[in-house]
Amino acid sequence: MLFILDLQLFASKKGVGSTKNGRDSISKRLGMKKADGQAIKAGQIIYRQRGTKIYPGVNTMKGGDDTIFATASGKVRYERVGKSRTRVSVIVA
Amino acid sequence: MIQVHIAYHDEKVSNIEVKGHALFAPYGQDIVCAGVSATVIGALNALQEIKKFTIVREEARVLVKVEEQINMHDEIVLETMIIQIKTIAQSYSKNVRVIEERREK
Repeated sequence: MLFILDLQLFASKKGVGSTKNGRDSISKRLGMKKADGQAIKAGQIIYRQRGTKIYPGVNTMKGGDDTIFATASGKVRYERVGKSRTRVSVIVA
Repeated sequence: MIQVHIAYHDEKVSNIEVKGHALFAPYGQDIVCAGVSATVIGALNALQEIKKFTIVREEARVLVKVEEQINMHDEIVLETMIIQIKTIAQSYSKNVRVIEERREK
């Protein structure tokens, strides 16, 4: 065919506005890295977070970026502390 | 609104210009525009003696000008296109208007 069909040849382009959205930062893969009851070695990361969603407990420490990691080998244990806080500990076997 | 100007010379089509925006719906959903576009572009592709016409196709504008005597087939194609556009204009008079101009010798 000599002429290619554009079904919107006589349509107004005014409706086609540009959006100011459409940007997003690269995801930081936060969240739980070891679940309750899982075996863990000293130095391994348990929870990546911003701020203290999860608090460090026994045999665990909080890094500079709020990451919780194990300071001893054992099993991971999540415990509730008070009404709304959660703490993670490592129970040495 | 899409404006369709049709000029006749001695009762034969000499010039058809279709231009404007249907403004029936946003781009991509404008069914009136789709109907007119399909009718016009379909008719252009149906013409046999394309060299006897001056055809201009731009954004929201198509001009078909008959430069020489055309055969019966192409006469019918143009007439059919006009009737199809009039049929659309009948149902969507707010979006398509047909203006006919007749000149005698």
